[in-house]
Amino acid sequence: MMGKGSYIVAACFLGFNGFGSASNGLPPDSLALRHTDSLLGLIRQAPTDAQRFERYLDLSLYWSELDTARAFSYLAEARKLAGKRPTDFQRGLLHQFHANIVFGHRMDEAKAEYAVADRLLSSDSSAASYRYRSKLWNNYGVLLQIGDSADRYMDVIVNRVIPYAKAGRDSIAVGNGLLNIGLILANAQDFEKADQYYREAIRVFSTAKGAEEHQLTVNVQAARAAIFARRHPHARKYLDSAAAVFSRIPHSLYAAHYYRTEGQYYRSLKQQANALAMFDKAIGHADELNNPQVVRDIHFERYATYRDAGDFRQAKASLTVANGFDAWAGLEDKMLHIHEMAKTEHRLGNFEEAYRQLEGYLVLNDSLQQRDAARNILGLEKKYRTLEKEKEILQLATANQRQQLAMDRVVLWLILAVAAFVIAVITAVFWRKLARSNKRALFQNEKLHRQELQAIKQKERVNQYRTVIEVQEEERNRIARDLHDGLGGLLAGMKLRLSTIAGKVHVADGTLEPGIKKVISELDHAANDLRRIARNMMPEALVHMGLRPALTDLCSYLDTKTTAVKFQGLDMREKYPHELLIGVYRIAQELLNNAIKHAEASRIIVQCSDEDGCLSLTVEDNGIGFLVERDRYTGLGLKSVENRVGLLMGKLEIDAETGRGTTVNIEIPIADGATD
Amino acid sequence: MEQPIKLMIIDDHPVVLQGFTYMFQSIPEIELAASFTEAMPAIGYVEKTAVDVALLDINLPDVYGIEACQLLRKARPSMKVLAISNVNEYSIIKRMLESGASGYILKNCSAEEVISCIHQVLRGEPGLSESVREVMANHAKADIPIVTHREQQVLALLAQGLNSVEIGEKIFISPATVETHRRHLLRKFNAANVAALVHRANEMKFI
Repeated sequence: MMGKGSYIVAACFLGFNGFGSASNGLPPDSLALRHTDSLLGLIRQAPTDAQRFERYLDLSLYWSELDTARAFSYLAEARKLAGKRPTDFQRGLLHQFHANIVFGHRMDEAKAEYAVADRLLSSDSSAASYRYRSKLWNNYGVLLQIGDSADRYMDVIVNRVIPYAKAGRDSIAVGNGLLNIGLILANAQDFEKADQYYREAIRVFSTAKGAEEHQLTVNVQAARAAIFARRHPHARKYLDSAAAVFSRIPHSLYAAHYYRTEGQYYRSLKQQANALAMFDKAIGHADELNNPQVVRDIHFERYATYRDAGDFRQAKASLTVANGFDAWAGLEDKMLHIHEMAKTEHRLGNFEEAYRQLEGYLVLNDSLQQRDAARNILGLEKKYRTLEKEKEILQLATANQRQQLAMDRVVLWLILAVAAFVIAVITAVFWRKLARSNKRALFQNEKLHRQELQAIKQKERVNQYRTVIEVQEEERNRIARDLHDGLGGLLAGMKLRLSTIAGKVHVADGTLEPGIKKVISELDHAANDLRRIARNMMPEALVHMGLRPALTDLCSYLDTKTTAVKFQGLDMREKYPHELLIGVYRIAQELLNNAIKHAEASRIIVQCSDEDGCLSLTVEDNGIGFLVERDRYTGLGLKSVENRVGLLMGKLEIDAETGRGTTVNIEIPIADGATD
Repeated sequence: MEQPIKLMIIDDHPVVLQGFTYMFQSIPEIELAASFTEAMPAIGYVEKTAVDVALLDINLPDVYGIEACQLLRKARPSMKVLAISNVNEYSIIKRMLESGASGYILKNCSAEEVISCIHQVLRGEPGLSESVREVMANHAKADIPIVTHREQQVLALLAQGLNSVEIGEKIFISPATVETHRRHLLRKFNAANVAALVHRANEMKFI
């Protein structure tokens, strides 16, 4: 939640005084048009082209988040006004405002444009130039922060944004710089230090004209930090100041944030009624702003308020409303909501629903992990590649030098030989030949170097992938344990008590409320669901019994009237290395899944045999077997099989023909004596 | 029944323990003698005290259920062990029964089922709850060998009297691979040589 807040305000700097916070959400159309009209009016009134030039830039900025095409057209107008010989100042601004337009979607381009703009503007030492540079650097810093370099953003604010703002005598920009430092610190949970900067910002804003919007923002943010730090009297003071400012600007775009923070204050003090009243107001304002993300967050706050008060029915209602805005939420945020929903349903006694939510949670968790794993790998790889490239260049350079030296020596010998003896010509020829072979050696060495690097890189990638897989398996194991130990026990206990009660009632009056029977059967349902999920996550037999029993179980579990699944194990050992055990089981699981889901097979054979230090797994089905078609459905599944096989240094063979079914053959070498 | 049945429960989940305690309160013929959340103290207890039936969970914090079952049986051979678990995997059930458990019930079975299973194990019958019986029945093994497509091809060519090299040439695989298939077929049909294999496969309508 803190993260969101910081981005909102930090980005608001893009805009100019008074309209800054608009950058967060789209203002109502009428407002935008009214504002455009007033700016166009200003342009007509402006006495000089230079002033009209800047007004057009303002317009371009205003539209840069609403409508890029329009923003570019205003930028073109400004360029026309600058004429054939624009000053460095004007050229700089054209670059800066171009960057402002692409800021949100082409970040690298924006950074490059800002850099050019700064160079051009630095030749102009007017106050206006400094003001623009202060803004430019702040936006540059925001881009750094989006790229996860909060430290560098802080550095930029301290060394560029604030000094330039001071040189430009722009106290609002100075205040905003301080406010943003506060936000970064609050993000890092350092509320005390954040508070110092907020106070400083409040002081600076108090001397500026027309800074109400900023005063409101900084007071609300300061209150927020105080609430998080559980310093309620402090928070109250800031909120009171915010209220005083707010009464002067009742149509502030920050109204929703203000009321939300008031609500959070009361929630933190466990004053539910007050908190809810504030959240209602906040929702009203957020609705007006047409900002679904904020509306979603506030409904979540309402949910949390009811939840803390133990009113789960109302809590569920609020959370349901919040989830209506899911389209605007990130994956982590969705997970948080679905997890809370599962807990709420559980509290309400709707176990089936709780399970459905839990399953949804697991699905999201899975995709989150996949996404994170992919990102991690990409990140690691990028880092690694840069490092390796540097290393490669270094290594080759030294190798070349060595070879060069060797060749020089050869030439020296040659001259000596010619000068000293005539016969030595033959020797010289001999030496030259040697030199040539040396040259060849140089090329070969280079090639070898490159191959070695390739191998190291490959190994590194495999290691990364292996780590990801290991972590994933650990997590699956943990979830399976949690399900069995936690919810499994709970359900079992409830079922026992309920069936005892039902028995007593039955004995007492000979009748049984049909409702009770239904609840009991629903409990059974939930327990079965739980078992299915836990088993998919990590089968008990695999952990405690070994590969053969686990595969036997898997096949007999999947064996149904529509699809016969048969398992044949030949000469299998009782124990295998852990990695092999899990790997082979997951491969079988994935292949069976493919055959049942996509190949429409009615008969599947799984065969596993162990011979000559090699474990081979065959999965054969009589399905449609059209590989290209299947690839389209199961690309991901087959990819993960390939990866697993690769990790185990095994071989994979797929034999698929339309109408004849598919046979997948896998052979994996078993390291000698490596059983655990 | 003059003497009540002395019962012990080992389960690390408090809600399950509560559920059982609540249930047995209303059943006069069963006396809940003790309950434990770990296996080792329970084993120490039955070494000194007589207990008729122990309800044993499989996932315990100290010792895994299979080992715990063996230790309990060793500590007091006259006592019956009835496994209670959330796990319905065949090989785990089978292994528990092999380790000396007289019965196996899933935790979400009803109160009546628990009681009838307790009576069954005391009578010397296997005490399996209905869903466990289903798992066991589903698993009943067919005696017909399972033969892959490739093996089927090799089998047919063996029946025609071809040798490994010839078969390999016919279906584009190496003679060594044909050998492997042949060995597997001999094992599957429990045959000593190719002649016996072809004969048996013929009988079972594989050729």
